[in-house]
Order: sequence, then C-alpha cells, then structure tokens
Amino acid sequence: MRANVLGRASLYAFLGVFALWYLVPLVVMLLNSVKPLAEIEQGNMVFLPQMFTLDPWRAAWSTAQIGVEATGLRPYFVNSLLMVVPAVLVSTLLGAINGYVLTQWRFRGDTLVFGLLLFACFIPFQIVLIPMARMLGALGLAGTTSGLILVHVVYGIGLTTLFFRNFYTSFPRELIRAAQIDGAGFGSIWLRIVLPNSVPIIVVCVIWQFTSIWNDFLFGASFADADSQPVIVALNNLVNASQGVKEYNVYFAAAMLAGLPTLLVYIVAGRYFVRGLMAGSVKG
Amino acid sequence: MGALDIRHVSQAYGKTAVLHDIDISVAAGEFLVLVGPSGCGKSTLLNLIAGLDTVQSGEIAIDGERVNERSPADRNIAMVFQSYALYPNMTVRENLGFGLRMRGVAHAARENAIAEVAALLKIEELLDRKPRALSGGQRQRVAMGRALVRKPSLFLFDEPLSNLDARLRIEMRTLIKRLHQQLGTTTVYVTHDQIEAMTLATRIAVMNRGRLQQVGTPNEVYASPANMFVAGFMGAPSMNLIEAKLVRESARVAVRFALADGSTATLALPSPEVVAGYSGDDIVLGLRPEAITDGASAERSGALQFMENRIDVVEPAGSDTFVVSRMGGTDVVARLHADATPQAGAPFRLAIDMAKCVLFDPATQERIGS
Amino acid sequence: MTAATAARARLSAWLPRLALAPSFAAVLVCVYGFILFTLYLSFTSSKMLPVYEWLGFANYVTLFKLPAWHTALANLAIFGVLYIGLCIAVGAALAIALDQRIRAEGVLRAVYLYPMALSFIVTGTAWKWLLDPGVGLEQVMHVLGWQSFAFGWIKDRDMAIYTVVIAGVWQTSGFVMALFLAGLRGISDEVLKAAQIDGASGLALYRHVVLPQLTPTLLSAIVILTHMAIKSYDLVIALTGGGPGRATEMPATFMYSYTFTRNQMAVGASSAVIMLFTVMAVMVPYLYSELRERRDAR
Repeated sequence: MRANVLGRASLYAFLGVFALWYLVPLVVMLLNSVKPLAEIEQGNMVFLPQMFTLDPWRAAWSTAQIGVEATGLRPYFVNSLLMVVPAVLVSTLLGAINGYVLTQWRFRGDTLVFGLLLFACFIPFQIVLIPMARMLGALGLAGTTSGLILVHVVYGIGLTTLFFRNFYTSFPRELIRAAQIDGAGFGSIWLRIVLPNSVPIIVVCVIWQFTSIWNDFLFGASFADADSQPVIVALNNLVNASQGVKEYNVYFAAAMLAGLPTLLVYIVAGRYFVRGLMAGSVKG
Repeated sequence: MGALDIRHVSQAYGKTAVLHDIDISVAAGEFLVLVGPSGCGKSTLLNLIAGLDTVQSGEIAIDGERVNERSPADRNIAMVFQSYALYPNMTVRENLGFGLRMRGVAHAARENAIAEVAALLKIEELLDRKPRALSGGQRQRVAMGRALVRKPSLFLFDEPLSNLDARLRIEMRTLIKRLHQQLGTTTVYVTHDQIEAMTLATRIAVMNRGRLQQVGTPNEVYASPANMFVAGFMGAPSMNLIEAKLVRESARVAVRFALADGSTATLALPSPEVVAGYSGDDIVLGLRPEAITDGASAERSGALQFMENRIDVVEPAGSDTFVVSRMGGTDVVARLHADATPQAGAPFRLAIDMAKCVLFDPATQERIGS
Repeated sequence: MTAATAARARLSAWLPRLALAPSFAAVLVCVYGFILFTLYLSFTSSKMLPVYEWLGFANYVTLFKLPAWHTALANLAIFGVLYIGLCIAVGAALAIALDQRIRAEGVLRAVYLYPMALSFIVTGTAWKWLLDPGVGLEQVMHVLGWQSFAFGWIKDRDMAIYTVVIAGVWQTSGFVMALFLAGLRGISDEVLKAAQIDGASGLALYRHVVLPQLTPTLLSAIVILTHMAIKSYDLVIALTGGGPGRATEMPATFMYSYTFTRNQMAVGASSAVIMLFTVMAVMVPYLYSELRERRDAR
C-alpha cells in the first residue's frame, strides 16, 4: 500500500515537473509583457512585476517600429486576417469536394491521384519557393495578400483532402445510394447530404488550417512585401531588429498578440485540434 | 479440482448498485452458468471472481481460501474472453506459453504443456502463426488452449461464443462440454443466451439487475421458475404468462381467464394445495407452449383439460406448428403437432396439461407454492 | 436513350473527375511542376535570377564543398538524432504516465500540447531570451545568488545547436505524447486483462504486451519527426537566426539565404533538391505502405 502511494506521488511529480517546463515560456512572456523595461534589464525575468503596466501592449499594437512607419502590429494583424480567412475557407471547400470524389465516386487511378495529393503535404516547401515567386510575379500577385492566399490554398489542398477523405471512407454509403434512387445527382448529394453530415471534420479542418496558416512564417517571409506581411513575419522583424534598444517587454507583448488567436482557438476547441493532429498521422 | 464460494458480495459504482448480496457456492467439478440480460451484473461478478476488480463488500473464496486480496495471477484461475484477447504480437505458441513463462516454468516443461494442449484442441498446425492469420473459430480454440495450458483450478468464460456465427457456435459449445466432461475442472460461464445456459450448465444462476433470481439445475429453472422474470427469460418461445383469477369451489380450485371472444375458460388445478397459503384472487398462470397442444394428439394424462379459443396466427415450423391466441388479455403461444389443422380466425380445440402449470403472485412476481 | 439523355449521362459520369480537376491540376503544377523546375534550376548557372545555361552537376559539387553546407548537414544530423530521440523518449514517458488513470489528465494533456498551437516565432521569442546569458536563466541565477552559474549555450558556437534541440523538443514532444497515448488506448482492454491473469504485471506487462503493440505508433512518430526535422526553419530563425555566425545553420536556412540573400539561386536550388530527396527517402516507403494497407483493408 505504501509503495503504491509513493509510486503515485512520484508519478504526479514527474508529470508536474514537465507541466512546469511547458508552461514556463508562456508565463515568462506574460509576466514580462507587463513590466517596465528597466525591471527586465535588471535580471528579474522570472519574477512577478514590481510595477504593472500595460504600455508594452499598447506599444506593440499601435506604435512599435516594424516597417517604415511606427504602426505597431495592428496593420499586420489585419493582413493576417485578410489572408487566413479566405485561405481557410477555400482550402477546406476544395478538400471537402476532393475527399468526397475520392471515396464515393471511385474511378480508375483514384488511388494514384490520392497518393500524389498526399505526398504534396510532406514536401519541404523550400523546393517550390523559387518557381512560386516567379509564378506570382507573372500573375501580378507578387507581394500581395491574394498571392499569399493562393499559395496557402494550393499547398493546403493535400492535407485538407486527406482529412475529408479519411472521414468519408466511413460515411454510410447507403445514404448516398438512397439519394441516388431519389434522383439526386453528384452535386446535390454533396451539398444536401454529405456536407451537412460532415460538421465534425469541417471543424477539425478549419481549426487545423487556421492554426497552420496563421502560424506560417516561410511563405509569409518569401512572398509578402512590406504592406502585405502577415503578423508572424512582422513579429519576427520586430523582435530580431538588430539595432536599437531591445525592448523585451514590447517584444513579449507583441508575441502574445500574434499568438493569441491560435491559442484561443486551441483553448476553446482543443479537442478538434487533437483530432486534426491524429488524422494525418496514426496508421489505420 | 476446486470449489468457489461467493459470500454476500455487493458492488456499486458511484451511486449505481451493480450487485446486491450475491451468494453462491460452486462445488468442485460443477459447470455454473451465470445467465441474464445485458446489464444484469454477470460480467461484473465474473470480473470480481477473476480479481480484475476489487470486491467492495463480501468475500470470494477459491478452494476454501479467501482470495479478495489476491491478484488475478495468484488465484490459479484462467479466463476465456469474448474477443479472445490473444496477444497480437506473439505467435500461437508464445500465446499459449505466456502464462507459464510469467510463472517461471522451464522451457522444456512449457513446450510439453503446449504440445499437449495443441493436440487436445487440434491446433498443432497453427502454432507458429500470429493471431491475425487465424479465423474466428481458430482464435477461440487458441484462447481456450491458453486457459487450459496452466491447469488452473477454476475456468472462467466471459461470453466466449458471442462473436461466432451460428454453426461455429454450436461446434464450440460441444467442444466446451466435451472438455468439461474430460477434465472436470470447475467452471463459471457467463452468457446472455439461455439456450447455451441450458445445454452447458450443471447449474444455472439467473440474474437480473444485480440480483440472483434463481439458482438451480437446468430442469429446475425451466420447469419450476422461481419468479416471472425467470419464467419469461428461460425457454424459447418463453413461458406464457396469463392473467387469471382463482376460483375456490368446494370440490376444487380452478383458474379462470378471459378468451378472445369475451367468454371465459375455467381450468381446474390438479394440485390445489399449491395455493393453500395464498389469500388473493388475482393470479398469473404460467404455461409453456408445449403444455398447450391440440386435442387430437395430446398425451393421455389425467391433468389434461380442454377448451376452445379463436386462433389469431398460425406459424408452421416444420416439426411443430405454433399458434397464437388470446387468453387473459395476452398473446399465448401454443405448440401443436405438425399434422393438426388450425385455421387463423377460427376456433380450435386446445388441450392444456395443467400438471405442468406454474402459478405466480402478480404483486410480488414470485411463484406460489414450494 | 435520347441523345440529350446520353450526353447528360456522360457529363454526370465525368463530373467527379471535373470536380477534382482544379485541385489536381494546381497540385500537379505547383508541386510536381515546381519540383521539376527547381531541379532543373539546380543544373543551371542561375545567380540572382533564373538563367538557363546548363552546368550539369557543377552546382552540387560546389554545394558539397561549401563549409556552410557541411555545417548545415552536421547540424541536421545532430539536431535530428537528438530531436527525434528526445521527443520520442519524453512523449512516450508522458503518455505512459498519463495512461495510469491520472486525475488531471485533460488539463495536463492540454498543457503538453499547446506549444503545437503556437507559431515558433511566438514562442521562440520567449526561448531566445530565456536562454540568453544576459537577461535569461544565467542572469536570474546570478541575481538569486548563484554567481558561478553559466548557461551561455545560445551564444556559444559549439553549443548553440543544442539550444535548438531543447526548443524543438519542447514544441513537438506533446504531439508525440498524443500519438503514443492514442496508441496505448487502442490496445484492447481484454488483452490487458488476459495478461494480468497470465501473471504479467507492471514492467513485465509493458515489456511483453504493451510496447510491442506500439511499434506502428513508434514508426509513425519517427517518420513524422524526421520530416519535421528536415523542414525546421521557423525554429532556427526565431531562436538563433542561424547564428552565432553560421553555427546553427540548417539545410532550410542555408537554402533560403543562398537563394534570396546571397544571390546564388542555383546552389540554393540544389540544396533544396537534396532536402527533398532526404524527405522522400523517409516518406515514400511510409506512404506507400499506408496506402497499400488501406487498399487491402477495404
């Protein structure tokens, strides 16, 4: 009995220590985002603020120098929103159609098509940076938010198709057959029967795509110009500025602002986030 | 050879009571079947016997020794599961030998035991295969082999045949019965299928909602059910339960119930002393379908009485013909011989063997009489 | 059947393929077409802009002679092995611990996983300063009285790569934990009960019954982690920017700097091609077996 209690205690201690390790960076960012700069410079990074101030947050949002003008993160935050929302909607929509076709309307070579779409998820994106830059230039979309939307949609199709395809393999075929007998065609079946019954996977896909596209750095840094930069790229420009005083508190406030949307989504809908994680990775 | 004693075991999960004061003694070599509808607590009881769950109140003893505190591995039991539960990463041979290996049995002795069991169950050619390469019936044999190889004092079966198709189920049932006759190990077997219970058991324990309804031989449970639940649960088609009234006359005691057309039938009780201690008038008459048959070819017995009733449905079933008619406000099934000629919608003369009837108190649902 | 009906029937047979076509075409061009383009570029003499003068394998030769590329590959090896090994060790340990009927399981799981929800630029900001000897851990220890404490790895040429490992493991081990937890929970309850009755408990249970059944999960984890390690870009940029100097250069940062900052497009393209082949070497067999299994299972 005693060994049992000792065992349980060390188990909880083990889990607790790790929980602390995971939380420390977030806590540090929060604490230090409400301190005046002088406190941090004196080596008090892990301590509670002696003086509490919201100035760093205000600065991060509206006055920090990121681009040519001192506008704070706000315009870039808007850029991210303008980019993420259409990209998520379009890539989810396409994924839903593709998944539907690949599972319910089988044709010769569909496994190959799926395989090619699937493999596209896993390429290192460095391999497409150069030609994509040229294509965006040729289309007149270089450095624009629309260009970024296009990029995220194209490279998101593989994963969204995977989500929906896996979901639809267990979709009851009888429902579709009944609809066919009732006279519905390809499009009506998708719109009226399949899509309304796909809410769980739509939620998973939207959450995953939102997180993934909002958090992207590589495409944002490669294809956006100073006006259309998403907030993550702007954040990096801010915190990695090599000249001037390092305003750690503003950096942390900025980081929290940039990370808040995806963090909120995670807190509210974490369950679906996990399902998205697992959907692409677990065998069978 | 072992014996099992379950003494006043009660179990609750949270606020839900799952077992109420279960008390059974299993003699050495017996084949006890725990039968009841899903949720009646039979699997919970089996888990407690196995030690997979801790007994909250009461005692379990195997071979006379209290085992409440012992882990499953120390109770000298073996268990066969519904899903076979074979180790997917091991071959059949390794599956069979795993329990012996955990107990430190030497390699040579293990191989002998495995060979013996493989021969007994005819699974020698399967020894080097993995479970995923076996059919359902083969997996079940391996699962039984794993239980047999350790020669335990108690076998536990948790609905082992539910995942098999009908033909395989009958085949395995016979195998289990034959093994029991050969080896004589005490067995506790859980099932929801009352036919399985009847064919395999030396004694049956009928459970419902965590309580023991009746413990007895198959014959006792079938012919003298302790209450209306057992009467309705055992036997297929189940016993007819007819609402009737007791009629006490000077010369005899009879039961009276309504017929389809509004008239009544009155049948005398061959053993009126059964209701001596019962003061009420309302009664439930229990008659198995085979106790109601056609007048033309009924067995000649003094207790046979006759009545006519309108038949609603005729169901020819090959060797018998079942008919449904309304008595005492319920649909009553009668088993007629195949050459009888009942007509749906027409009256028919039925012969009732009242010697086989059972009477119940409608308020307590218990059987009246000894 | 009238001509109109026949035409409609033929159209409806082709509708599914038509619906799939835009996505398929987009992927064909923007993924496979672009791969071929970059591959082609790696054989040219492109510097700042694509030039179509054929150089054969000269760029690859140049690439493998560059010290920066050697550093990148060495770093990838060190980082890869440590990152994958530690993520699996930590993830599996946490999963097994969480599987023991822990009270706060939901909360703990959420805490272990949240790093995956944040961009590494966001959390890299905190890690960068946490590990900084000037304002981070070292400074805090000094303030607390432990004057001799030193933790300047992030500024140390030899040790900086290990800080990237720490941050990487921190971000991804929660994901591995989720994978292993799902794998553990997928093990049939009845198999565990049977093992208990057979006498296996505690360590023996894990060794003989549980862990062998986690092999597919382990494989998935290794493949996904390898692929993530090769792609690591945000992680390095946020934490060290590739520095100090080029000490934490990785193939991903190498490619970006050579292509866009140093105007050596062809060399950059060839480094991207090498990255692709490394990823393919791991992903293709894995995806092939996944697809074949799904097809057989149908």
